[in-house]
Amino acid sequence: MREVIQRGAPIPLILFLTSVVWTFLGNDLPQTLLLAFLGSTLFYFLFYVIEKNMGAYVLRRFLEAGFTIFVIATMTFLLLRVIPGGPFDEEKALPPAVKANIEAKYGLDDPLWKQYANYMGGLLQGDLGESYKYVGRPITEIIGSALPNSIQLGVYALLVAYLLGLPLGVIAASRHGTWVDSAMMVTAISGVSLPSFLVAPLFVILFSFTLNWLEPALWMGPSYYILPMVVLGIRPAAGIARLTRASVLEVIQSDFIRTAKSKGLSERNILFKHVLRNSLIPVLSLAGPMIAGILTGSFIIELIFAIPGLAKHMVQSVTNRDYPLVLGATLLFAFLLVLANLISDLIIAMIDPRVKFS
Amino acid sequence: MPKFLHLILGAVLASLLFSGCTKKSGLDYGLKVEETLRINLQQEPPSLDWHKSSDTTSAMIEYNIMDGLTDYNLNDPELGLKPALAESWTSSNNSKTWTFTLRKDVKWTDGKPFEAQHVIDGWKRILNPETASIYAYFLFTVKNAEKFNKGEIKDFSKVGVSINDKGQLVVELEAPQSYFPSLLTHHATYPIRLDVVEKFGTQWTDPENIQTLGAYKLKIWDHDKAIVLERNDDYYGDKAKIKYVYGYMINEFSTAMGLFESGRLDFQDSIPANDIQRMKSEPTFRTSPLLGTYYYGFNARKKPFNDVLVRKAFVHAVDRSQITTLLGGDMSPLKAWVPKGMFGYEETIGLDFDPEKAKKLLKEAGYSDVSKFPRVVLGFNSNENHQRVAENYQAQIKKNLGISVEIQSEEWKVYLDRLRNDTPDIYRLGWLADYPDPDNFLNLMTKASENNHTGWSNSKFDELIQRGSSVADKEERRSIYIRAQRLLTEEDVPVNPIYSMVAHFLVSDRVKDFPNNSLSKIELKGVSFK
Amino acid sequence: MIIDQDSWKRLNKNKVALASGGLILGLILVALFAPILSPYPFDEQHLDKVLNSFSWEHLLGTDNLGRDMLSRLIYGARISMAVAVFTAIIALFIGILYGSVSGWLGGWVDSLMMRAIDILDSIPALVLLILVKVFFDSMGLVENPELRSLLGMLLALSFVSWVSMARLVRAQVLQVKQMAYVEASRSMGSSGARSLVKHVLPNIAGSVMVLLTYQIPSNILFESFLSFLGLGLQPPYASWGVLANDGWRTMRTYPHLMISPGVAIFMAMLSFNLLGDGLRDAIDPKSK
Repeated sequence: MREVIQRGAPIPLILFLTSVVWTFLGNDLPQTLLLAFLGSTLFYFLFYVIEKNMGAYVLRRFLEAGFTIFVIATMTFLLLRVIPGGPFDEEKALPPAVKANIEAKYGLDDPLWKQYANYMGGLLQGDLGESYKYVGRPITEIIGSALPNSIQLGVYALLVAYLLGLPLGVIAASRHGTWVDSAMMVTAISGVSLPSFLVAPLFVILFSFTLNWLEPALWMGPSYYILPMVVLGIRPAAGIARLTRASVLEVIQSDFIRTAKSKGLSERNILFKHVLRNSLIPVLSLAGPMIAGILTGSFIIELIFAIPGLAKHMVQSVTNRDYPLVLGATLLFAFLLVLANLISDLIIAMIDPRVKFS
Repeated sequence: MPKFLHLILGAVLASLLFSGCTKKSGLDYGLKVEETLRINLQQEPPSLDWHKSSDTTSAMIEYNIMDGLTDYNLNDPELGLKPALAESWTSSNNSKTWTFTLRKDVKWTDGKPFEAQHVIDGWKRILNPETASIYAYFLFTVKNAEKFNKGEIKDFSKVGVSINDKGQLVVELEAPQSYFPSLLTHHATYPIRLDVVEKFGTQWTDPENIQTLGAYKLKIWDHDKAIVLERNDDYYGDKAKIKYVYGYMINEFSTAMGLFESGRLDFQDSIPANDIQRMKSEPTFRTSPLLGTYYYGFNARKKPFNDVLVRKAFVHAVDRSQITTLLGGDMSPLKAWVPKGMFGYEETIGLDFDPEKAKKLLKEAGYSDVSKFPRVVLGFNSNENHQRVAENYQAQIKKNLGISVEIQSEEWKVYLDRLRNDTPDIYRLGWLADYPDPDNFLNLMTKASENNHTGWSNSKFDELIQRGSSVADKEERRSIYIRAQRLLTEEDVPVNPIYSMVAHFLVSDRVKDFPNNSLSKIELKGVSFK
Repeated sequence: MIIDQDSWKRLNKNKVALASGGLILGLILVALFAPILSPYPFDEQHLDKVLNSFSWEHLLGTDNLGRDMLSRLIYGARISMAVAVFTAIIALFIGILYGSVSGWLGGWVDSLMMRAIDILDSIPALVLLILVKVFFDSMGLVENPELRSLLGMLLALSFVSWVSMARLVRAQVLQVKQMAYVEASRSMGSSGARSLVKHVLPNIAGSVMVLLTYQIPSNILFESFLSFLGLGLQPPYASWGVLANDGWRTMRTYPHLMISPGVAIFMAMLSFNLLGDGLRDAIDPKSK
């Protein structure tokens, strides 16, 4: 039984890749596919947790994550209230009676602790309130319609990063010391040194306005997706390439591999089976900060390419003092970051037999 | 594993090629370019509930999908009114009572006829304290409306709007207000279908739920992506010429420009100052008067601007045309208070640029030694335009009066907060007309106005404003407003008007009959393709 | 990682790193001698020569107010470098302090302090940047608006970058704490602080230097992000980030506005990255 389940471990990965390719072609993600993916991921996650006896560790991490989110919520809540300027301060000043009505409606005239308690209470029930600026729209709906686009962009960029970075790093390492190695590393380091808002317009001018191959803005299909995801993926790709190369080199030059080589195993065999396995660990451990970088960088990209994602809401809501939206977006981002870190830690734990947990 | 990689790479490449082959020449949502006007709204409208929205994007859409009782007449150089849902109206009792005869041939998009009751329902909704509507105060001149909004009266039938036995809408006001019909151009006073709102709650503005009666109807609202309007073929008036309107929501100007210049966009406004110079000579560039003013206010509560001589000196010391030239946008320098393009605009009133006089006045005020002049701060919200104006103002004051004014910019909301709590010595503000009447502007400087941050007030001025609002004869009103503006900009001078705003926008070659943009709302129904 | 004779030797052999170091040195010199080097004052407007491209009078062209781009770029170097370096230094101090205290004290204090850092790390950098900047601006601690804007930016940027420094220092402190001779000297009576300074700091100097070198380009990047959001410096002061931001908006029609700051940012970041690599390889050759 266990054997069968273990054989099926790639299933979540296959479902993930299918979803990615399907949505990339411009289609909506069918609910069944999404549920299948999430379900199988959860299943295998629990399976491995039990297998490797990581239950206590996982539980502890989840609790810590929850606590982290709670602290972030509180901090953001307070910080927002401390900053001058309220959500309904307008250039055209309101008569006090009208202002009073609005503040009463949103509970802004309650004492601070009460507002905090109300918000936290709602949060626990999954109610994030309504936006002040987008009158009547629940935060969950605003975030709900913006988040998939941001996630799409992030996932595509991440894939670009790994699909570009891994091969680049491996090839550079295997051709260590030759011009190929140097050339690739120069490319990589250039990639890290170029801010996205410089690269983006260059690409747009070239691929869109001049060659007319791709769309310059918006987010409606593959020809729209390509430029933003590539631009966003370049820097992480470069970082991955560098790290992969270093990591692969370290493993190649280690005793373990030399032993295997001396035993006569083919280079290809060695490379793919042993080297990759061991060198991927530090690369995967980068996934957490990489995702953080992508989430941050996506804002500029979303703005330049007019993509209707979350980052734009995040920043504008601070300017508008739209408290519920700031809180909702911040908490969501924090949640995603915490989740990403958690997942990458857990993946490392699963892959690397040497890692133990307290 | 590597084989898998190959598979994925293959799939990606294949889809790339595939997508390349099928790159659309048409628009999204199945629309065809030949019958769609593509405009850039620049942002997602916060709300299409016309009783709750308070921004220009929402107002623009609402203006095209709905009509009010009255509309403003773009063909009138002084921007008068024309009938809309109301065929005609009369006033009696010295402009305290207004009777509106409503059209009988108007239908909502579901076919139900428009009735006077819908107007009353709308006003009740906006005045209801629970709706917490920002523009509730628009209707405060209606009898008992303010009390109802404050919750002092709970019974709406006591509010001064009713239907008489002839089916006409009768409005009783608290005080005479000759320009009352002007208010009815604003979306806050639009009628509403209560049954729709009650049935669908906050989702009533979704395209499948909303009921409207204007020249266009809301077909698609893809949040943060696009809005599509479709011509209303049952519209009571002149039908719109173009079948569809596609509203993009692209905030970044350079992205939008890229689309415009590659022929993917028909209309773009809010052109940044930098680009105005360059675009001015293009055939696609248009300018239209915008009913808005840009002004500096003095904090007259404390030194040095508590002295009218100092205020006058500062106004005389600045050549407004230098500022408008610097901004390069054909704005007209404004010396009086009501902007160019509407009734009440007076070209000759106000203080001229006269540096000699300025120096004299300063000396008279006791500041012959300018080094003893107190520290003065000019505050504004961070924005490239405001920065340039402020720097130029600062330079001119330095040159003509020898005084160094400190300029301070702050983030918008922080600045608004500061305006109310710790007004800078000189503060920047602007005003865009809510409705095309001079009262909307002059009202700003009355004692009671929330927007008067100068600390100055003058009972004579307040009296004039009150009289102006109640008098019915246009010419009499004109002379009253001349007197008021004289008082404001020549005698007491608590403010330094700078310029009348101007709207710049780009219209693609294939479009004709694009209207002016005076109130930041574009009337789309008259636009057509060549 | 200890810096010793061998480290310097290795560094010297790395031509690329040396070249980058030279470039950075040049950059610092340009920043310091900006008033002497730039042909025009950075805020002088020539309203008759607006938006000119490259010419003999204005080697890098002029901007929308007729200001000389070369001069703006030179002064921009000063501001960008100042911002990047000072941010790095502030982050360094806070990070070293925090990391040392946390690592040295250990126990529950350490856990608590690390937990706090994890939480801080989870707040999206952009939101934090904006909140801190707006908060600081509104406090009104500093009267002069340009200084206030600059300080606010430094503070906001440092806030998002000191964490990695703290983590690094703490890790090193923990490592050193366990070293035998530290234990020995402690038992002989030297105070904790002295042990710290004497043993830990030299050991971490190498890694700290490397981290610093990497942080500077990311500070330059973050600063240009802030400018992009309109929260950067107020005109007429311009860092490279501000110049690039102004430039990319008109890239299709006036490319010269973006080419010079773009190239400058790229070269600076490249040099710092290469130098960082070189330092890291020199100090810890195993990581090559």
